[in-house]
Amino acid sequence: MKRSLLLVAPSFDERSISLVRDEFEALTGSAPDFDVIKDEKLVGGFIAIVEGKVYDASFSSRLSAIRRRMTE
Amino acid sequence: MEFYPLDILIYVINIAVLYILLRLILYKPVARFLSARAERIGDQIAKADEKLLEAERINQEYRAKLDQAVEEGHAAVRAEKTRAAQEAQAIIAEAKTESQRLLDEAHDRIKKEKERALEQMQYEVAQISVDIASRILKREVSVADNMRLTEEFFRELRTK
Amino acid sequence: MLDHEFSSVGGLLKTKLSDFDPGAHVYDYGIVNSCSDTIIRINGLASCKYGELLEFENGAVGLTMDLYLGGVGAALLSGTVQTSSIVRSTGRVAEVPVGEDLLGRVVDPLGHPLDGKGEILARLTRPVESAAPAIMDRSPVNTALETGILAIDSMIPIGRGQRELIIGDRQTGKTSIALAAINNQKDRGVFCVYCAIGQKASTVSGLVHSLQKTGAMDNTVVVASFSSDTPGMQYIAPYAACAIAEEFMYNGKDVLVVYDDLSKHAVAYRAMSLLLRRPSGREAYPGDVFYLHSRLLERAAKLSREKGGGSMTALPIVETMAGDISAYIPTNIISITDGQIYLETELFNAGIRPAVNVGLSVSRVGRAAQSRAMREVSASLRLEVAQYREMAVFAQFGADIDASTAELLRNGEKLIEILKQKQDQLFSLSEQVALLFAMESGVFKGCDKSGIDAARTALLDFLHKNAPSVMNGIDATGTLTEDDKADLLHLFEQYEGGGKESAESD
Repeated sequence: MKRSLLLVAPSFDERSISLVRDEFEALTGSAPDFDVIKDEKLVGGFIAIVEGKVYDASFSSRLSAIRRRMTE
Repeated sequence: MEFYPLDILIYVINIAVLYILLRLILYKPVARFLSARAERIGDQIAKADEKLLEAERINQEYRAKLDQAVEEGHAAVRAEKTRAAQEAQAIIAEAKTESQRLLDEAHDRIKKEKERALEQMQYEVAQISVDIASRILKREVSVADNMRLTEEFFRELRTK
Repeated sequence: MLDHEFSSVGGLLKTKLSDFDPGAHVYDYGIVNSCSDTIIRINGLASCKYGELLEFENGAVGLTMDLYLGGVGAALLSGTVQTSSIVRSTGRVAEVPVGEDLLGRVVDPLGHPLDGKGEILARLTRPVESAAPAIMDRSPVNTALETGILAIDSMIPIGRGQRELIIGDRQTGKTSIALAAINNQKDRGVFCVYCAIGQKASTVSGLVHSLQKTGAMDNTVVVASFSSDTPGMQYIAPYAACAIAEEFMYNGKDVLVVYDDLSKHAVAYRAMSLLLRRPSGREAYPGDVFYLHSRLLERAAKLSREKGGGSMTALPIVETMAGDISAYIPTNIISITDGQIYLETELFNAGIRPAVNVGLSVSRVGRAAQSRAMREVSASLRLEVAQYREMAVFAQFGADIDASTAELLRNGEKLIEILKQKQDQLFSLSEQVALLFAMESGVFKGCDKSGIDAARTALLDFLHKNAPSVMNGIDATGTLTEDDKADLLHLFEQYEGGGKESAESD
């Protein structure tokens, strides 16, 4: 598997990134080595791809979920 | 006057012979012919009588048939009139139901169009509002918001 | 349900969002390992389900077909895929939008519109694969599904809820029979779903146009997967069509589904299975090719009153090669369906259209699916046709035949002529009953073989003009009362007496 990936919104700062790193360490037991990429499509929040799982905490996916909910 | 008996005898014999000859040659055939003719005439009269009777009978028959046909014609006309009236009723009833059906169909169509328009509008409103929200959020989301979101996310993950 | 006021749209949307809780999104992902011939091998996706839809990075869609340790094999349905791209499982098994919004539309097996009439805003979806109705949810087939084709409705009757196979070589009129059946359902409240599997886009387009012309398109859905679509798309097309039809069936409606054709479906499945490296069996088909069709056709049924009383009638079409109905796929489907309509090339070329071989065709539901009127007039029809065919063989050799056999042959020829029908010609129940009753009563005794068609048209015109109530009565009630019979005989006498000349000269 590739290295862990962290996609963040442009408004994410270093403190938030290290918070994410710490949380993942608590969750998985080892601190993942992130490739951090800033992507403005996320609008806010982050998407982390770690050990075969995608952790989606981005505003864009929530907005999509809201849109899907309203149009169903 | 002198009588000559021989001449008288010859005349008598002459007459007798003539009579016999005539009877043979003329009388019998003529009698036969006459009787045949009488028979023929008699037959023809009899046939004519028969034919007259037959004609009478046929006349009666056809008269009876004509009466019957007239009666049947009347009955058929009556029956057809009733049937025509029934069909007219049926056609009117059908037209009524058809017009009602068309009305109902038109109502349904209008209702469907309205629903479709509503759905379309709902869809458009949803899209636009999410777009607007997205644009606003892009501009407005702050570092603190991100932090809060991150904390919330991991809190939920732990409780799951 | 929608509140019928425009001003309430805002309120409606707010209600939808009031109890919306997005939750934490955590899902598996995979990475494309290889992609060849529309089969994609993916590493990862540990908790993917069989038959689940997968979303690729650039919007392509795939269907999970193979689960193994460490990865998943998927069939590409649409779009293109690159190696090392990310794949996400959608969490939904393959599903298709359903509902009355689809009527009059042409869609692909995933529900995307193909007719350019705009998005389909269907609110309901159904999974393409679902279980067939249980035994106790079914009821016996007892209502006729009229196809409008005299030869079929009289001798091989189809009931609502039956599966009747249409089988024959190429160009024998299989699709025409199915189309005639669809056209005949126009005003009878029966919805139709036509599934084109692996066909040419031009063929489907012509078909849609012809349905639009006759007005039958308004209650028909066309599900199309063309020969240029991936085998995966062609594989799910009939299941998608079945799901669309099931929605109507479970809502108490009667539906007619045509699968055109299942031989191409089996070929597409074979292609996919071979590419997935599944073991192959007879004729290189995979081992579960019977199950492929049985689970599709078993979903067609007549439901009990408790379940709504709806029905789904399936008309699968199978193309044979050189008339071989003992090949693998045809025999499979013959054993699944409730009868078959067998079309022969020789009959078609001899001008007998529909080219139905009455001897080899059967309807296992039989007379239970016929209306009473048709049952009465068609009781001995099959026998007469069979007897004629037998005798005709001998007569071909120019053997000396006695008067009664000659009469049988003459009658048989006229019967065959009566049973012929043009492609766009449909007979209603009353017209069919009247024709068969007329044949039985000897109305066509004086016609010769070539004049039967004109005589038939003339008689039907005469009947419609002079006794519309009798014809409508038969159509409405489906029965032929003694009064109707007497009326018809009277009308036949009138027609033979004077109406014939005036009707034929019209």
